[in-house]
Amino acid sequence: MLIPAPIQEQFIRWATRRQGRARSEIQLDRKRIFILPTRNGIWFGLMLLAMLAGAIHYSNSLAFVLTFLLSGLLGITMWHTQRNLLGLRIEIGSAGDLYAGAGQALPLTISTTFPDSGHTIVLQWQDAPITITDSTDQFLYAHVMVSPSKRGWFFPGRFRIYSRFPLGLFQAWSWLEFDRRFLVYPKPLALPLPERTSGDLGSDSMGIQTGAEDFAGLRDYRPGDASARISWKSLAAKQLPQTKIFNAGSADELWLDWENIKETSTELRLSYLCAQVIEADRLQLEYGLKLPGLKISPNHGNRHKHECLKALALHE
Amino acid sequence: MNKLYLSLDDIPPSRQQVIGIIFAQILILLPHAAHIPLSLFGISLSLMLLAGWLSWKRKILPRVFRVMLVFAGLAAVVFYFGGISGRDPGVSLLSIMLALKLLEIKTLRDASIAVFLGYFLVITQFLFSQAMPLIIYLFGTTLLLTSVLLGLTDMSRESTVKIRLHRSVRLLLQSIPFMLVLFLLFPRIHAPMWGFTSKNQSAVTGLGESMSPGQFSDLIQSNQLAFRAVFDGRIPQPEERYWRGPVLWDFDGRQWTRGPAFREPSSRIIVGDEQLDYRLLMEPSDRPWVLGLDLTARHPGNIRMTHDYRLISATPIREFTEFRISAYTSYIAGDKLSGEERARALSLPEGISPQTYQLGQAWKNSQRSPEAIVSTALSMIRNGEYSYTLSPPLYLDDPVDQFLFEGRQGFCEHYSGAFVFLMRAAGIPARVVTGYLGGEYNPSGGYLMVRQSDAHAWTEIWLDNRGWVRIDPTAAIAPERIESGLGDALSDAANLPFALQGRYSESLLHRLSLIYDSIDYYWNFWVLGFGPERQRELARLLGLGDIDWQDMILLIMALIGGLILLFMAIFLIRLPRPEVDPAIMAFGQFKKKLQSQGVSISPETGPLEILDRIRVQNPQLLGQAESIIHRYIAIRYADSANDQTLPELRKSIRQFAKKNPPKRVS
Repeated sequence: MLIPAPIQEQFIRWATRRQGRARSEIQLDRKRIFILPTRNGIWFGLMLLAMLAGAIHYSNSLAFVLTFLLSGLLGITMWHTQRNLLGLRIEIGSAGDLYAGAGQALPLTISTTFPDSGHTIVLQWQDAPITITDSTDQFLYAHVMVSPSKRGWFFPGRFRIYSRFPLGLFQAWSWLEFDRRFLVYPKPLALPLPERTSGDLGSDSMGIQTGAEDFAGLRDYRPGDASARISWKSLAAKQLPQTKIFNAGSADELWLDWENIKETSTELRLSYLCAQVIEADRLQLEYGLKLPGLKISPNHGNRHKHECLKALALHE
Repeated sequence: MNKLYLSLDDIPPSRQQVIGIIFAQILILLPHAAHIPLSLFGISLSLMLLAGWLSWKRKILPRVFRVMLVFAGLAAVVFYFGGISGRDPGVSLLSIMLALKLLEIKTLRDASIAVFLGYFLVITQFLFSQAMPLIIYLFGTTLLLTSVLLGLTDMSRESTVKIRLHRSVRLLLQSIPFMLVLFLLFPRIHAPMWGFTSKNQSAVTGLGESMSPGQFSDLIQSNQLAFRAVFDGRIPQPEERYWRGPVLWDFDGRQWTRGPAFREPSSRIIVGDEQLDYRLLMEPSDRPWVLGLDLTARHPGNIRMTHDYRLISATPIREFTEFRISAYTSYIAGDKLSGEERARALSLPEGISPQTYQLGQAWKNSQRSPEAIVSTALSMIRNGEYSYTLSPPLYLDDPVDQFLFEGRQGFCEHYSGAFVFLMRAAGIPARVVTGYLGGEYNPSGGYLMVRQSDAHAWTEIWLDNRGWVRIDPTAAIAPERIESGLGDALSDAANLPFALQGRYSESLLHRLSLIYDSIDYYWNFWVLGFGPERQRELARLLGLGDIDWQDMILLIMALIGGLILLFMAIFLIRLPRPEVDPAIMAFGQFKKKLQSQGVSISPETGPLEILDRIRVQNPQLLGQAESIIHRYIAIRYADSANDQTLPELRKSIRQFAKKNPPKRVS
């Protein structure tokens, strides 16, 4: 953008008033779309002025014809560029796991109202890398890069959607502000898993029994069970999925404990715990989480993992 | 896009995009081979080819080299022209700099700028030539350039060259209404904006400022158009079609020249009553001469009449130009001859052509009237075994004597030159007039076409009380030349280019060429010649009267505003056939079916919530509903759907609760 920052700020304030409050689904109408020449468009305009001067100087009719044809092209392009965005409906989807400080993709669903609107469209969140889509299809899913800096609830704020198609002389844009929040987990920082503790909250240590877990039996498959734990044999025989259950040592439990992290900074502690949760889940262990004022008893599976991560994300 | 970019401008163009730009630029540059110095053209072309090769190899020249090349290019132009201002140096420099720009395309922005310079290169072509085939070619390249520019913002995978060309055609067609409004209404002015106009270096065949043996026979080989004339009333008869060019007074024994200008004003013209009004449409000649029909009565202010009644434009005619002129058909050119004129019109170089001189002196001493001398001279030419030929022998020693008494074969310059010599020797003031004789009527355009092959030289002699009287000695030897043109008059017409031969005028090819010329004429008249005059004419035609430029600008704004509204309207007419995600549509049906099965849901109920309600309110549907809802979630939220998911969803919704009769919700 060529516009100085303070003016842009003013403009954004005005534009926000103009387009009203955020919602989960946004349809771009004329009120929401803004358009300005790009830097290339300004160059093009200057070139037209030079051409016009030449045409006048040499009284050359064909020079006039070409100059005016290109002027017409400039005008018509403005109209087309605006039309690329007009009538687009954008909906924000649910994200995968978001971690603080890492670039991740939020899915946006773009659907077009007008049959031939929506050519090359660019989406951008703040200063994150751009996402280029081509939405001549009626629907498409665009994954827009975001990089939330802090854990906790993440309100993405404004996305910029813009288009310069067809000739790059104008840029039509709009701001998308959704009333959605996303949970951002702490930034994981690798740390080895702690040793297992027996039964109680005490800290008397036992050796980790990785890979030496005992097979305890089968139960019915529940959505969320890891595929590695599905009993393929019984699936083949009984044709109903069953999940293998292991005992991670009869009395030993893996506790990921706030107190065990030798760090004073809250954020670092949460980061290490986060990495441990991910690692424990990866190894399909049963684990519990202890935070000041919160205890999640040992369990396994996706739901459990997200419960733990949520607790980490929202820890005060 | 595999890599991540923070802005569209940072993206480097693909190899295909760059090659496309270079290809288009080379096509645009090619016609300049005929316009700018070949060496400079060669530099531009080879730089462009280098740019193409480098981008094919995905290489880029080091910056140092590029900077050096910029200075080298500038130096080459300065070296050739001694400066960079003016049309030819400017265009040469632009070509080279554009080629250099192609060497440093690193981002999409560079690529766009290169395309813009390409448009600029197109426009410079028009300064050199406005020939129809070139115009078509150049608008073709403009289209190509536009599609290349379009390709720079079109990231779509399906986009092919064909699609981009198609889109560019549409864009350009949509621009035409704007172009027309601006073209017709943008206020036009006459004068150049800056002090300089560059000199056209390309030589245009046409009349010269002098006359020497052999000159005309070269000129008439050219079938090129010299000018057209559109008459308001009657078209002059063939014997009246004398178009006046340079008048030659001075003879050095070999060559006739204009000589110094006269100090006194020309003498008065006494006229008859008929005046022919016509438009003279000059083709570019690079000379200021305006070939008026003898004898000009009125002419526009931007041309003046010389002492010897010919018309001179203020600037050389470098493009199709139109003049509104009136001519007298009967007149007495001049009421008295000044001493200076008499002296110049009688002077002969000493000791040249003694035989001819003695013949003239003998006639002078015979005390006959000038009229009698003229008719004696003409009958001598008519009956003296002279012939009218395109290829007379070279009269090297003494052109006049050798022609009149030995060779007796000549073309119009021989006859007119010898005749004036004879008249002067006989004491009758005489001068040579060059110009064009004739002109073919073009029935499809309704105008006279005068070609270079109509170039002619005749004479004027001064008779007291009758002024300057035109005598055409060629008429004495070849009257057909005046009546029906060159092809019938020459003894050796077979040597003429086919297009000038008599039998050619009967052919289909000739009629087609006349039609082509009339198209060219209308194009010239309404497009190339569209200037202030035509604009005023158009305004009158539209009933706007004499509007000034402020009104024109208002009119432009109004019309462009109108066009924009029109486009908006077209857009609104093709209005929202609102498109909904087919999955949502299918799911809506599912919800309706659920309601008819007694499950209470509202439009806001989410899919998982629906499942919960089914579980409570109508558990027997749960199995079917679960698969539907999971598919729906897969499509709408999880992005884990494949091509089959939507058809499956539709099918399962169609079959959902088919056998269950609808329940009434009480």
